Amino acid sequence: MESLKLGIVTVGLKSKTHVVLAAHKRAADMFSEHHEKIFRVDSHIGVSMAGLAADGRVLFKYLRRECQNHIYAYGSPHPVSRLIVKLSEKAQENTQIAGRRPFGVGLLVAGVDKSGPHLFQTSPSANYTEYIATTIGARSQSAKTYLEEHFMEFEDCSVEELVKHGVTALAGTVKTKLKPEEVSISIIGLDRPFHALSAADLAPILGDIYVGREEKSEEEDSEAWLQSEEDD
Amino acid sequence: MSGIGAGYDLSVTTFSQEGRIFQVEYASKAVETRGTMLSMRLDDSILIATEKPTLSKMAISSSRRRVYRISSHIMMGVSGILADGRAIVEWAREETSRFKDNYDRDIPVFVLAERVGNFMHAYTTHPSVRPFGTTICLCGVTKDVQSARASRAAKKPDNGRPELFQITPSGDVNRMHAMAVGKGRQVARVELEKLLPPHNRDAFTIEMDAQRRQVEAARDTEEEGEEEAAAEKHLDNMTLDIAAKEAVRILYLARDASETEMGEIEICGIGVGMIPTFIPAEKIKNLLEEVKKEEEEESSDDDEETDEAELGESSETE
Amino acid sequence: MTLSGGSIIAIKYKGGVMMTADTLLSFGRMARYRGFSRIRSFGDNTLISFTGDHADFTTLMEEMEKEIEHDVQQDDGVVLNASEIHTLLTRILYHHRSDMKPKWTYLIVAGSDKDGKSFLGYIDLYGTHFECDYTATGYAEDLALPMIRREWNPEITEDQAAALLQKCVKVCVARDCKQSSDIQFAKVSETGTSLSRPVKIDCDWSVASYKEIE
Repeated sequence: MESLKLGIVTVGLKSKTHVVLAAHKRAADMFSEHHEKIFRVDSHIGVSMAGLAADGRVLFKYLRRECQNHIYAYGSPHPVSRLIVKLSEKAQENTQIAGRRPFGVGLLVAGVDKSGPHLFQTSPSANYTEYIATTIGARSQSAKTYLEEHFMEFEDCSVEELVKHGVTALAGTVKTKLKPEEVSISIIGLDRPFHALSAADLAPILGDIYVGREEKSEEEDSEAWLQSEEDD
Repeated sequence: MSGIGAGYDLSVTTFSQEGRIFQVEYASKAVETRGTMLSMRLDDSILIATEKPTLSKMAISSSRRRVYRISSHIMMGVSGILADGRAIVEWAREETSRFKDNYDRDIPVFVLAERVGNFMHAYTTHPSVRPFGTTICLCGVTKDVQSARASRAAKKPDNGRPELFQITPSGDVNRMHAMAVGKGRQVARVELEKLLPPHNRDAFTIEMDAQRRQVEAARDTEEEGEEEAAAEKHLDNMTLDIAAKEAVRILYLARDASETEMGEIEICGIGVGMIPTFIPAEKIKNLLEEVKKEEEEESSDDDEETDEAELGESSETE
Repeated sequence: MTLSGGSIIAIKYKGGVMMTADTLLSFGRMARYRGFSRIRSFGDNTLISFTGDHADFTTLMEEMEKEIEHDVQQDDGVVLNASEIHTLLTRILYHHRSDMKPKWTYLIVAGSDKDGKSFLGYIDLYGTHFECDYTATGYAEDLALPMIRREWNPEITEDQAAALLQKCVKVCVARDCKQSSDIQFAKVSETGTSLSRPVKIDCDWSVASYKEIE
């Protein structure tokens, strides 16, 4: 379970029509690019992970394969809850059989199916829970506090509001100001399949969030885009 | 912990000098320390009630069920480690389908119970696996020779008979009239014992049950009034609704008094002609409110009573 | 020689799908079992009927029953719809024919979603499959389809659909030696599936006699 607390913060939240994953991506070292944190399993499902990324990829590939198999066999997208059940069965075996170790990764699985948007969290212990909003990863506590304060409003949120809530929760977990290229947002809606927001889309959202907080953060503030937003 | 097992507790393939297998006992411990689960077998239905800790207010609780449908005539409650329980649930579902595929009839509950028992037992015999950390409550409606005989005696159509089994991590299978496991099992057992029907406080067998029904059916037709007067609430004359409230009361009495808030209660019923059905959360909430009020009224008569853990005892002595 | 079923005719109408099949199982050209319902309903939104080998059909339907039972077991509100069952059957039939062991059936799958969208699909023993507005198998493919093509339109009502099927069946009874005149109708709409009791198609066999020809 501790491995859930490793890794970078991911926030997930859903409304009646959309489910959003927001992750903080950080470069492993100064020469590497930012690590992508949210993965597209299928056009209706995305995951983000906290913990051992290599284990996460194994599960992620499994999810992808199951989704493809379902489309082949039934011609329809895999129901999200069923996918989670399969995932937890797989994870459970690893907790019981000698010579294997549990998957050291927790996933946030966001998806949309006939019954609407869903957000599941899975853990190495093979448990899973569906949430309206949740967060995993290191120092996710402040994000959790934010979500717990606001999750009652999420149901009727527009997708823009939902993204804003997600980014705000995420922003609370880092000491510095988030740069657009450090945030990765993916959205799945009833009417629109899995898609990510670009840094350009994110800039104004981040700008909005930091407007009110200008006084608090006295650290380096060299972002030109941020300045221009504040001038408005 | 290591002091108790003294090296004999590392593998299921090693007996201790007293002939115990510690790993299996530890598995049972996994059940004892977790949320209370109880089950009652009524005359023509069964219910399972569990108390599960509230994980987060943002969680959607229906995704963390403790009772699962195995088929339209069987359901399974899992206590202890949920993930282990679900693995058994999936296996039981497959076994049920397999039986249906082979014999074109619903698997009798006692047959499935035996098979689940064997399945769980297998995990106590190999060093390559650990035992399941869960006690299973398996219940459902069986249609077989026995139910046919009983219904013939009662001059009713054969719709099957309810059966309830408890299956422990060691693979033991026991036919039960009522059961309680988990943290609050002691209090719950005391309460359940009070609900046992008068003629059935001891060992219970199918034959006895059939005979009893026969006798009761005959008596019902003769002297209805007398039965009415003597009616004391017990498992065989409760309806599912009344039993649900009783279950809520027991879980309330058996709750962990050190916790400020009680966990969430989940109740699922199955019966003759009724597929496994969850009682709506809203209704359970109302039942809990009712129960709380009733228990508070009773305890307010007794001024000295402050310890909440003894609430159950006090209310019963009055 | 095996038991086999004859033609099926199915058409969409405004609000649902209607299909008809006779109630005969033939042993070669012998009318072996009468009063056998060749249309099966699955869950509350799917109808499947077959032409061809009865035993193969039964086996396939057992597979489908298992799928439906799986949904019941999971108890999560997810239920296969007609289109999904149709796709699954196409995969199974194609798999078997690729194994050189085809399931000798022509299947018609009809269904209706909760939102009122109807589905009608055809599959044959080679795994050929398509969705359509109306279709037929067996001899009716030749006898009934031309009539349906002429008269069918998407706005056709339930009564009109029933009348059209009746007309088609009548031609089949007259022309197809394996067609029985005991016919079953079935329909599926938003509200669910319903199968009629077998009805007798009224056929005037006097047209076949030489009496009228002077």
